[in-house]
Amino acid sequence: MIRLDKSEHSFLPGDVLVCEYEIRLPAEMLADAVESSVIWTTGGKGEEDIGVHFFERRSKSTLDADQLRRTHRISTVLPRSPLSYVGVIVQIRWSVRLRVFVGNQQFTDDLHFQLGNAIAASDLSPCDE
Amino acid sequence: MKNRWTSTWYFAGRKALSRSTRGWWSGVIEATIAAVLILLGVILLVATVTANVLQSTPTEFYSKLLYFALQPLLAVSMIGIGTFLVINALWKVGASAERRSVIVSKASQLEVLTEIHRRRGDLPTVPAKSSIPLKGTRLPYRILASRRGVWGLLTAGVLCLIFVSIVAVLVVTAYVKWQMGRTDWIAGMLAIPILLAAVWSFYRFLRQLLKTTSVGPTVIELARYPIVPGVSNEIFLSQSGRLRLKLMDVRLVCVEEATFNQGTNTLTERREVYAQRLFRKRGIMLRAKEPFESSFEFTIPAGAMHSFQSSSNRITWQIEVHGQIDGFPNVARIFEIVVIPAAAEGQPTLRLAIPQPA
Repeated sequence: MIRLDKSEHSFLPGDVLVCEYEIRLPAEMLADAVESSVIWTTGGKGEEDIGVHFFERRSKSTLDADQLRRTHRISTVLPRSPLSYVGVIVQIRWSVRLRVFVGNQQFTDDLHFQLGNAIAASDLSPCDE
Repeated sequence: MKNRWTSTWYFAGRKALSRSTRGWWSGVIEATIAAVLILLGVILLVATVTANVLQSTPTEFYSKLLYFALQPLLAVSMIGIGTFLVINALWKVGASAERRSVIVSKASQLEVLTEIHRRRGDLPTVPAKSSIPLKGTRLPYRILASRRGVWGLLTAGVLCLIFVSIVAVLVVTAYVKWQMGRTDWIAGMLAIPILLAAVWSFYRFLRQLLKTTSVGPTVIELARYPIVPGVSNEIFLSQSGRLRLKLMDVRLVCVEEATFNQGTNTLTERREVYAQRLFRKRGIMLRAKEPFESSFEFTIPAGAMHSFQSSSNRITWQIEVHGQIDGFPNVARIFEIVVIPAAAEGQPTLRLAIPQPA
């Protein structure tokens, strides 16, 4: 489970993003590693690009069942770019991604948030032609 | 006796021989001569080499070495002269007179964006190297035009040379074999469609060359750079040349580009998501030493998305200058500009301190 400190999930460049996450696994499963990251990804017609703004990995040696069940917190200062954007054939989306490695399996959870107030392409003023 | 009609005829006659028209025709003739020289040089070189390979025995080759060497030398000279003329014409189009003199004498003072490189560290994915401006003469920043036109010309030229070379080889082969009493129908038949392709490709190359060199350099200078949405910016436009523009249009455009794989092909789709006309004027007479100049303002809409570049996706802002010329292909010059996000509250805006020209 991932929680952000802002309920509306909207941030401005330069804001400090504070995120808490908890991992609940069945007793018989042990996590080998946990990766938490703040990323932007592109969507739309083009191939997906990904940019990593923040990354943290906790390996097996630093994790035990008790530590895993605790609430973990990450914080990072958000950059000035790229802003979240809804375009016609290009979209940019920010998210906090949590990836847990258990044996050969990976469990991923994303929590999306808005960075900046860029206007969607469809909302720009009509062409002045 | 003078009357209105004789005066009109006299004026029209004088106009046909005016300095700007003569200058325009000299540019056209120069570009045409350059293209024809390259074409003839390639034909002569390929034909000579092919004929020598097909006809001569090793003994004959060495005994006539001087003769065999002169012909390729002549061909290479023609290609070299034609190429020089093309490059010279492109040089004059790509840089205004004052810029050419600055490049020659003060190359070290051209780049003014060490400060931009330093400050761009906190703007990931905003293009940093693609459109670095130079120091302007009227306003602080001069934006360079995109190189797309030159690449189009080079592509057309290479295609033309390939087709011409193939035709020359086929024709010479067929002729030499005919002289030996053998008929090579295959070479002859293949030569016809490739000859048509060569003629078409030469026409395309010549058209592209005239399109690139007929209109002189377009200069775009800005008061502020990089550009911030919602903030008004002054723009200075200068256009030189040697002909009459029927219509000139200046547009501000935002383009999204997405690259994707479709089967084994890689495709790029471009979509214009915003366009605004900044300037339009009809009937502009261009003169080489008296460029047309105009200043006006523009504003990227407040809240608009900034410039963005990743491996497969781009968001580009550009200023497009379009020219319509009677009897000539339309000319378009594209100037990519970098738009950065509006500063967050309390953060300093990105401004450069450029010493004003004296």
